[in-house]
Amino acid sequence: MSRTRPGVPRLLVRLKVRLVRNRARAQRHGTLLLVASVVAAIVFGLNGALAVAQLVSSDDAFVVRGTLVIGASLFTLAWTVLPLLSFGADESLDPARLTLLPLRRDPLIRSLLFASLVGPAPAFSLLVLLGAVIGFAGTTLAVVPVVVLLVLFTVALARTVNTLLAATLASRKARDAVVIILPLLFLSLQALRFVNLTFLGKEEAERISDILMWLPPGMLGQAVYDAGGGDHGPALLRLLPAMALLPALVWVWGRSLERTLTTVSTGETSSRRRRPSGDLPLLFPRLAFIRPTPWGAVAARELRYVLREPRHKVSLVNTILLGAGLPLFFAIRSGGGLSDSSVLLATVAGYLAILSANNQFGSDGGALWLDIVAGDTIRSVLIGKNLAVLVQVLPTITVVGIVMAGITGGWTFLPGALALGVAALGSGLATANVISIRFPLPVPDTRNPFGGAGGGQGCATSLILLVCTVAQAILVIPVGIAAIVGIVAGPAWLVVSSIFAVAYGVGLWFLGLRMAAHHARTHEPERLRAVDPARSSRSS
Amino acid sequence: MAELRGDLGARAPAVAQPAADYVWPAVVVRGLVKTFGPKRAVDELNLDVPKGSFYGLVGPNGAGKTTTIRMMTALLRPDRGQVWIESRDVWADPIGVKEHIGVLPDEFRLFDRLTGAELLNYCGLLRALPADLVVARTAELLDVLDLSDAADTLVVDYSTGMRKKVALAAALLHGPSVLFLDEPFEAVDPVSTRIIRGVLERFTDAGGTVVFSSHVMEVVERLCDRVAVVHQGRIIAEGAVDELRAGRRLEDVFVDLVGAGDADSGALGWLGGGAGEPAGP
Repeated sequence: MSRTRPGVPRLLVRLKVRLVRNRARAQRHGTLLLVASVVAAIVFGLNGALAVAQLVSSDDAFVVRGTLVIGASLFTLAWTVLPLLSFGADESLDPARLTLLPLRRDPLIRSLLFASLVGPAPAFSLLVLLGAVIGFAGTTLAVVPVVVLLVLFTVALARTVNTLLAATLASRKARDAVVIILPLLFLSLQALRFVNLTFLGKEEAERISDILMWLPPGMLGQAVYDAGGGDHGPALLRLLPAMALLPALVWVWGRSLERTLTTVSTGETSSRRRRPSGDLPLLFPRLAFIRPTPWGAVAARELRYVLREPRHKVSLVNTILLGAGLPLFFAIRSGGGLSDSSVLLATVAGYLAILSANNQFGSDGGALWLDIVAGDTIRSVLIGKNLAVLVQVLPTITVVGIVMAGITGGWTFLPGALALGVAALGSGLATANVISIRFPLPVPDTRNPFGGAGGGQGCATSLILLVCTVAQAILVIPVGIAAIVGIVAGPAWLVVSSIFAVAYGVGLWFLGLRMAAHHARTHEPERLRAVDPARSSRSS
Repeated sequence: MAELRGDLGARAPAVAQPAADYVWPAVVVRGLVKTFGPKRAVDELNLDVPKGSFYGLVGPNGAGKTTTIRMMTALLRPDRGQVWIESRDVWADPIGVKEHIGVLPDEFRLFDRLTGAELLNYCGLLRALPADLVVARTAELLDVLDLSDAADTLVVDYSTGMRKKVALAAALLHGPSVLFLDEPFEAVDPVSTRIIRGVLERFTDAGGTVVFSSHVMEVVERLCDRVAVVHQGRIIAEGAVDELRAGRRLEDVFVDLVGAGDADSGALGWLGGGAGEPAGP
C-alpha cells in the first residue's frame, strides 16, 4: 500500500465542515445564514481582537492584568457553559453519532479536539485570543505557548463536561436533576453579568482578578502578566496546574467517551403506566378552560410535554427563574429602597417567556407531519401553543407581582403589572408566531436535554434569534411606554395606559396570528422540511 | 381511463379537464416529478388507483415509493405534476383532501411523550371531531389493535410494532376513505402484522381504498388487488396481481422487472477473513 490514509483528526474535521455545509444546504436560507454567521464571526472576532490588543498593551497595569486574568477565565467559562445553555449541543461533535465507527480512543480524542475548533463560534473566540497575542507580542513571546495551552485546556474541559453530562444524563432522573441545577447556574451567570455592568469598579475587578488567578485559566493569564514584567519563575510555576490538569481532563474525557460509545441506551424513559384521568386523558380536568377543541388539544399536548420532556422543562424553569429572579434581584439589591412602581418589573417574566417561543415548531420536529395531515389546523396549533405559554407564565407574573407588591407596598400597581404582562406577552407572541412560521429551525434529535437549535450552526441560529429579539424589543416599546406613563403619572393613569397596552398587545397578537397562519397554509411541506430535514430531503 | 391519461399528460396537466361523465378513481396521478439535487427521485409518474382497491406500490429501495406517497399526501411539494384524490386536486386544495385521507409515513416520528390514548385523543380533537366520538373511537381502535393494555404507556416506550399500530389508529380515527401507508409492515412482528392486516381488510371491505408501499412480496401478493412496480422513479409495470405474475411468484416477476444482477463470484474475495490485501497501513 503506497497510498497513506488521512489521519482520523483530518477526517473528522472534514466531516464536521461537510456536516455544517450540508446542513446549511438542506435548510431554507441555510447557506445565506451560514455565510452571514461566518462573516459575523470574523467581523466581531476582529473587533474583539482589536479591543483586547489595545487593552493588553495599555500602560495601566491594572487594565492589563484584569484583561488577562478575567479574560482568560471568561474564555474558558464561556466555551464550557454557553454551548450547553444557549447554542445547543453540537451534533457534529456528539460522540453518540460516532458509535459505529471503529475508532480508538486516542485518535478520537485528538480528532474531537481539533473538530471542536472548527466553526464560526470557535473562529470568533480564537480571533479574540489572537488579539491578546498581538497586543502582548511586543512585551513577551511567552504569550504564544500560554495561549495554546489555554485553548487546549479549555477545549478539553468543555468536551469533558459535555461528554460527562451526556453520559450521566442517560437516566431520566439524573437529567431532570441537572435540568434544575443548570438554569440556576445560568441565572447566577446572568446576575454576575449584571453586577459587572453596574458595579464593577477598579477595586472589585482587582478582587475578582485576585480570586480568578488561583484557577487554572486565570493562572495562565497571570503567567503572561508575570512574564511581561520579567518574573519568569512565577510565570512558569503558574503554567503547571493547567499542564497537570490537561492530561487528567483528557483521561476523564476518554473514559466517559468510551462509556458513551460502548453503552447501549435503552430508550429515553423507563416504561411506566399512568392512570387515565377521565374519558379524554389528554386534557387536564383541573384546567377546565382547555376545552376538547383543536386548540385545546394542542395546548394540552404542549403542557404534557412540559411535564414530561426535559427540554421543555428546561425552558420553563429558565423562564420562571429568570422572570422571578431579576425583579427579586432588584428588590434585594436595593435593600428595601425600591419605589412602589417596581411591581411593574413582574412583567419581565412575560417578556422572557416569548424568547423561548421563537422556534415553536423546532421541538415538534419530525412529528409535525401529524399536525400537517390533520388539515387546516395551523391557527388552532398556534393558539394552543400560545395558550400553553400563557398557562406557564401568567402564574409567574402574578406571584412575582404579589411578592414585589408585598416588598414595596405598591399594591395599586399590581393590576397594571398583570395587564402589562399580558400586553407584553401578546406583542411578543405575535412576533414569535410569525418567526416560528417564517424561520423554523431544526432542533437536533439528541439525548442531551440542552440540545437547542444549533446542530453545528449555533451562530446562524443565534443570528436569527438576535434579529427576532430586536424585532420583539421594538414591538414591545408601546407597552414600555404604558409602564412609564404609569410610573410617572401614578396608578390612576396606569389603568388608562394599561388598557391601551392590552388593546395593543391583543391586537398585535391577532395580526401576528393572521400573518403566520396565512403564510403557513401555503408552506406546510416547506415547514416540515425545515424542522425535519433528514426525513424530508432525501429520495427513497 | 385512457382518455384521461391522454388528456392529463405530464406536459400540460394543469389545463386539461376530464370528460363530464368521467368516473374518478380514488387516486389519479399524472406526470409527477421530484428531483433532489442531481437525482430525479420521481420521473413523470402516472397512476390510477380504483376505488375500494388494495393497491400495492412495490419497488427496490430508493425507487421513489416514499417520495411518491409523500407527494400524494401533501407532505412534499412536487416539482411538477398533479394528484387527485376522490376527484380533488391535492395541491390545489390540500386542506379539502386531508379530510378524506389517512396517512402512515415511513420512519415517522410521533408526539411520543404522550400515551397511546392521549395521542389518539390529540389526533381526533385536532381534526375537530366531537369529544364523545373521539372517546369512543379511541377505545375501539386501541381494542381492535390490541393496544388497550398499553393505552396509558408513553409512546416513547412502545415497540416498533406498537408504534406502527398506534400510528395506524391515528390515521383511521377520523374515518378516511383513502389510506396511504408507507411500509406499514417494515420491522413489525408477525402478530402485529396479522392484526394490521385484519384492520386493513376490514377497511377495504367497507369500501375504503388502501395505497401501500412495501417490498415484502409475500404480503403484497396476499393483500393486494393491484400492484404497480416502481423503478428509478417510474412505473415499469402495473396491473392486477394475478395478471402481473402470470402463474409465477411475484418476487420472481419483480426481480426480473427491476433487473437485479447476481453478485460477481470473483468479487468480495476478502470477505470472511479471506486472503486479501490489507485495507491500510
